[in-house]
Amino acid sequence: MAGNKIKLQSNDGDTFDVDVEIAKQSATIKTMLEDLGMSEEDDVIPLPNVNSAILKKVIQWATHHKDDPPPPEDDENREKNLSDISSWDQDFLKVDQGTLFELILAANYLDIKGLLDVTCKTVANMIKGRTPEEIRRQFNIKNDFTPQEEEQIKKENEWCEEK
Amino acid sequence: MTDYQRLRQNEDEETQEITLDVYITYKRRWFYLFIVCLAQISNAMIWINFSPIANLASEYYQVGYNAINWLSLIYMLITVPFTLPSTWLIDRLGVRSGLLIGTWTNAIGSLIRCLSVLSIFDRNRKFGVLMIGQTFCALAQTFILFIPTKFCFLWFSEKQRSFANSIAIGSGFFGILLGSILSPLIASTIDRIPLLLYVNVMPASCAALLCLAMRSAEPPTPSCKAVVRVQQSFTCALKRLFQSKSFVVLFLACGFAIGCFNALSTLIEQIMCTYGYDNRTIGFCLGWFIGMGSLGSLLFGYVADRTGKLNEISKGLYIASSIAYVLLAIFIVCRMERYLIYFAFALVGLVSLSLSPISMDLTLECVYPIPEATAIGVSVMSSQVIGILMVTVFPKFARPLNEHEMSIETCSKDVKHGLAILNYSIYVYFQMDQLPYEVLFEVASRIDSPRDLCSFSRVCSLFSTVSRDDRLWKRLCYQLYNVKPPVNTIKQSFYEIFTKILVPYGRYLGYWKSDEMFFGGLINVHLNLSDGNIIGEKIAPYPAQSEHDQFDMDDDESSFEPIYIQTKIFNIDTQTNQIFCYDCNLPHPELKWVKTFDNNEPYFGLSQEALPISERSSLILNDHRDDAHPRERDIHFIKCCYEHETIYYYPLSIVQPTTSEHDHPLSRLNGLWVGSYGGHGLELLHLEFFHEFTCPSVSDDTSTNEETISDALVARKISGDRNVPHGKISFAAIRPIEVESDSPLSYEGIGQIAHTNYDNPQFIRTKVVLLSKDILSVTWYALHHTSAFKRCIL
Repeated sequence: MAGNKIKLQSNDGDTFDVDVEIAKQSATIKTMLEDLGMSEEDDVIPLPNVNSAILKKVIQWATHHKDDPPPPEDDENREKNLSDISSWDQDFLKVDQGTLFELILAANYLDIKGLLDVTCKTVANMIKGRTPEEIRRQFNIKNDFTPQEEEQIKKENEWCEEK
Repeated sequence: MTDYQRLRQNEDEETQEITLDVYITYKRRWFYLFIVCLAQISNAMIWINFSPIANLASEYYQVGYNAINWLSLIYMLITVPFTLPSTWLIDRLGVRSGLLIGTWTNAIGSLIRCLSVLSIFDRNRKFGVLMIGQTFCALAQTFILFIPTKFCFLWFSEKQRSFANSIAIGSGFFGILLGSILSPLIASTIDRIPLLLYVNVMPASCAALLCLAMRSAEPPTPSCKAVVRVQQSFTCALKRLFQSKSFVVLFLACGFAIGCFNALSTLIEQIMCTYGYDNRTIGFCLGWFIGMGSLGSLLFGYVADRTGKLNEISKGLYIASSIAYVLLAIFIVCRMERYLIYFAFALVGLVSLSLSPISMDLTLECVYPIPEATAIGVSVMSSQVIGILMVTVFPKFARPLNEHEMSIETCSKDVKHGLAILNYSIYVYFQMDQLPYEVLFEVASRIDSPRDLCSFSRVCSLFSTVSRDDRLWKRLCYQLYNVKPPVNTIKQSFYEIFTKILVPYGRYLGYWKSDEMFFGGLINVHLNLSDGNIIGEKIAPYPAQSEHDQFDMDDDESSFEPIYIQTKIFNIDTQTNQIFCYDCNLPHPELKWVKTFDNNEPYFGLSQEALPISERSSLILNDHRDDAHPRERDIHFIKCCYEHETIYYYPLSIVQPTTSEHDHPLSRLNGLWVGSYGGHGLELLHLEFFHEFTCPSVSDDTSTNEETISDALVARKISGDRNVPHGKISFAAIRPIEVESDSPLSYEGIGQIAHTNYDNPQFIRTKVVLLSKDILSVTWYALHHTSAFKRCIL
């Protein structure tokens, strides 16, 4: 029913009133509501893996995308187009890397396909066309290969050097 | 000094003679204090000069950030070996001589600095000259810095001593304040750096000249009881200092407090510009920092004098300043509003800078009667050593900026040459390599280019593991090469299929069309997943002579299968890289990458220039062209086993039918079809939906103009006949016809007819009826004939 609200609680204790329809974009919350019969209005759904800053952003995203058609189930046939992130989403995702990764985690935990898709695409775009060293620098990742392993993996990847 | 003052002084001296237990102070102490302060200000200004404009200075002198840091570091560095000799000298020769040496060295240093802008020095020397000047000033500092405490101790009464000391040390902060605010204001552009150097000479020379007016090192009578000289040897004094536990604690605490301050003021521009703060803001930050520091010094000095609770106050301040520093760091990293940053700097200044005079006083109190300058010198030395360590060690931990930070930094804004900008923060938030496997997999599955996936796998071992997830390669096999085997039918992993078969041979998969005379021809190259071989098959409709030359609409579907013949013509063994040609059964042990063709030599080859499937879309427009001279990369096979002719094949993109409800109904008919053409038998066609189609004029119409039709289905021949050859349009459905709801969709259309050898081709009106998504019929009105078309499912 439209207009119904539920309460979502972040792991640091803040609660947010959200339209049921908006919250149901999260398959996790949808399952909770439908399978567990958590439909009472005073029920608070605890989300132990999401902090309030991230939950706020997730709700903001879900509110903006509440009228989107559901994403196709078969993700194998997903079209390959990295550049199709809408400009609203692009602005929405202009955040530091920490926030971006936490959004990915939240989208994964809450099972919001659309949000997971745009956030992952954003990260994939940051990898596009980079050398391994550039990727390490971009994300501040430590190279934990031994020289032998590095040589080995370079050899395994020889196929992609040739055009 | 005026006669009046002298008179007063004499009176004072007389008074002292009378009452020996009363300690007397002299008025001229204020004048001397002024000189001391001026020297402090000038020396400090010179020290901090280039820190708020490090990027400009780096550009002007054409040196790196490190060299600019050395301008500040030299002060701290010189302090370490020279503090003890100079404090010894001060204690030996007295305040007056010490101050004279200090101010004059400082003035000379400031003048040498100015020389660095002269054009007589070439580019590489300029910085060296500046450095020499700076070194002089640094030497001067060892005298100027240690005089105030001793001076105040000698000339001021117990009640005023902390206050006076605070003023003297506070003026040092004031100098830093002036220096940091004035630097970005005066040197707003590179060419105004000389002006900045000139301005710095003024206070330095003033102090030096005024100093000449100083007459005596200490007052004729002691200012308090403590000033009763106990002669001690220098080494003995040092030894005694370090035997005092309180001194060692203070030595370290004070060292860190002032060391932090030194390091922060030196590195501030480099730290803050990476967060997008400009030089002017940074100057103001230093301003607030030191301004509030001076105020704090006075305030807490005064309170300490009044209450005598030096110990408690300093402990409180140490705690407060640790908290304030943390707050400041958080504010900068979070890129808070400017006023909040100012506030944080003010707070840090207020509590941490006032620590300096308070700690000094405390030191003196707890080590008495060791010579003051020595005790202070040793303390300051520790702070300088810690400062140097911070400035030299911190950049080692700094890291290059990432993309996001690059977009906000302002360090390189005013300078032309690239600067090695570093970020001094460490990542405290979530990092990519802390994400769980499934989440990393989600990211990796959005990487569409195998090359990017390669780079991804070489980043670290976790990424490497993720990149081998076979689901990724399954998706790439499908997306890039349209290879989608049924589950459980393959022995190899998709990774192996992709890297061992598809990367070298994938580009040959798909449909290729030949231009043999007017008949044309089609081969389908596909991957046989059971043995990993690549098979080329020729597809031909049944010839006209066979009984299948017509098929009837009323037949049920199974009765006209098969409508085409597939003939295997070659096989590529991907394990051994051998090609087998079926017609002649000749293995070609070495795959020949053919770039230039020799028509006389019979061979079978693949063009290395062949475009992979994913890139063929650019060729769609050329799929059906007429010209007989193919470009190299279009050529796929040259085959000459027994036929003494060469056959060229072009890539042909066959558009997949759409399945979605949202698309135009005609687009569901995209693909490869077979149609019946009367006496010519069956022919292959390529059907494609176009949003825009230039419809040729129709001969049985009155209007003779071409028109642009939106949403049309165009059928072109892949194999042709003598009348209408391959590559030509056979028919097109252009306009829907209103029909009853239960009858099949019908379209108004056009169709092409011609005499033998494509003579006098013309278009006539047709009707296209969509019987199902795989069957349609075309009625040629003028020919009184209806032909049937059926989708080819390979």
